[in-house]
Amino acid sequence: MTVTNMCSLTVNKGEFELQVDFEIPDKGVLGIFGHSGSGKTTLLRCLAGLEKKARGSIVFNGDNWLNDRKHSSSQSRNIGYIFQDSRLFVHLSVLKNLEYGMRRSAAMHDNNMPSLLQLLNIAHLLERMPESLSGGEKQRVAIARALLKKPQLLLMDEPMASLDDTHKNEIMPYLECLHEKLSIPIIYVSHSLQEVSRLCDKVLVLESGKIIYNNDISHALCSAGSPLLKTESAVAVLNARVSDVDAEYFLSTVSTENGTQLQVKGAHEKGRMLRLRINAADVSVCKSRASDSSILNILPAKVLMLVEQTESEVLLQLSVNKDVFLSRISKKSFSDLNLEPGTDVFIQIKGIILQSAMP
Amino acid sequence: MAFTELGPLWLTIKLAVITTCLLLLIGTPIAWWLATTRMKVKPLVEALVALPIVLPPTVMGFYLLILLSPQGTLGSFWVDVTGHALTFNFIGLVVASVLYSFPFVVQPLQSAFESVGRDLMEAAHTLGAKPVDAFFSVAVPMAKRGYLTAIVLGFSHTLGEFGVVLMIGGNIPGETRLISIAIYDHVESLEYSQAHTLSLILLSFAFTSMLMMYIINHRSRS
Repeated sequence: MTVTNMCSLTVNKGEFELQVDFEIPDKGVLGIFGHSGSGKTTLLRCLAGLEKKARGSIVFNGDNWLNDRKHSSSQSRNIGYIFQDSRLFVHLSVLKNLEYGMRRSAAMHDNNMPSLLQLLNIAHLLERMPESLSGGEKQRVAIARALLKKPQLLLMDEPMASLDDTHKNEIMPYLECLHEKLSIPIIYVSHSLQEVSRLCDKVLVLESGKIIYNNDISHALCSAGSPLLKTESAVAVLNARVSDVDAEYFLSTVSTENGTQLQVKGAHEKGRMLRLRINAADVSVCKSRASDSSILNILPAKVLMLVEQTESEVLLQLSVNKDVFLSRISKKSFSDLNLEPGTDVFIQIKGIILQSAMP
Repeated sequence: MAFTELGPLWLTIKLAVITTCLLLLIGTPIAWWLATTRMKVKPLVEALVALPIVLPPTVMGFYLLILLSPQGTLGSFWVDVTGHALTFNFIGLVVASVLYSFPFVVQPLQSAFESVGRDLMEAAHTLGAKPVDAFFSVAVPMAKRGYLTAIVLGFSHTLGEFGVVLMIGGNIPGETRLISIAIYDHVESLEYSQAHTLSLILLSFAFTSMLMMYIINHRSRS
């Protein structure tokens, strides 16, 4: 049985109006990207039942959360909500905070608490009071608190916005880990392109309360016209499975579903899915295959189009099989090599950033 | 201390305890409503609640006397139901004290609830807590300093009332003769040593309760 999860709603708040219509995924991470004031948080609050002025319809897992006659309350929607500012109850210890949602959820609890505490590395904090925790610890406790009630949908409102860079880097691996381990869909609100490119499978871009773009992350990051494509920080994202391991050189071969093969660092478990992020600045283009290069990944590619250009640089979109790569090269090289759409070239990939991905 | 002096003291404490308990029950929902409402009548209700702070006790006593007397609206109703008058008896004192000490309980509760804020209540809802559950599991424990202040202020203020109770309660031993009225009586009869004893009791209680309140508030803040 396929269940369609739909969200189609309007919120009118005086001068600001949010009007959206999209499908809520049944797994993976849907990013909601936009600048402040674009309506991201309002949208998330509507999904959580916290916005009384929401009109329209929300259907999730066969339940009507919102329609003309009904506006079900937050507590009756089985959601987990991570706020920007963690919102731990300061009068309760970490353990009591964690138990708050568990005690009130309908689902009986098997004991996944120890493994979650371990995953988020908060087992040693249980007796502490929230005020004695660092920002990153608070946010990890808040994530555990929301997950322990076994929600069907996890809503995250810029969970890293209130953290400084050190704490952001501290919490990111946990979020990536959740992405891999959780079977429920996550809706992740952010205005950081980096977070979206690292965590999301799909992305929806909001501007002034309207959806201006909605696509898979790999398309969103590589396609001309996508609001996520920025020359300065352009990055391509691919999902690939480990197909071979070379233990002697500590290398693995990964293959995308289109058959593109790449060598990555580390001896990974065979069959494991990895997310590869390849910065456009790490991809160079040449007309012939260099046989004496130190670079491992040299692939035959075709120039698809020139996506953007600045005074000195151009951003090229290239395809290898059906996988899309981005390359940022100087304008001079671009004209010296006579590149144009359809030109056959070789791309040299200098660096690949690895992450675990959904199985 | 003579046995006769214990009567007013005991009666005053009884009145203050009953009044404070009633005020916590009535004041909590009103304070919560004031802290969370966005309705336009809020300032009107706030002004009404605050009125006893600025109103001369005799003015309040006068209106209460009219309202509670057997000819008054509330008083005649009370006579019909119970067969007793509300004026010049203990129950009338309770009604008057509740009104008189109202702002001293509602205001600290309101500001405590305001500082709990909407955010944590929303967090509680997303964790599955229904409104009443969230109120008792989050708002009340977080407002416990406000409750402490409300209890101390409500109790102490009721202990010290004079004008209102004199107007509607009179001076009936064992029924309406409160400690402040007993002091007044002693002074009138030039019995200074008795007046001293009772005054000192009130003074030391008032000072001790204020001191305790500020010490506890200071501790929980730091």
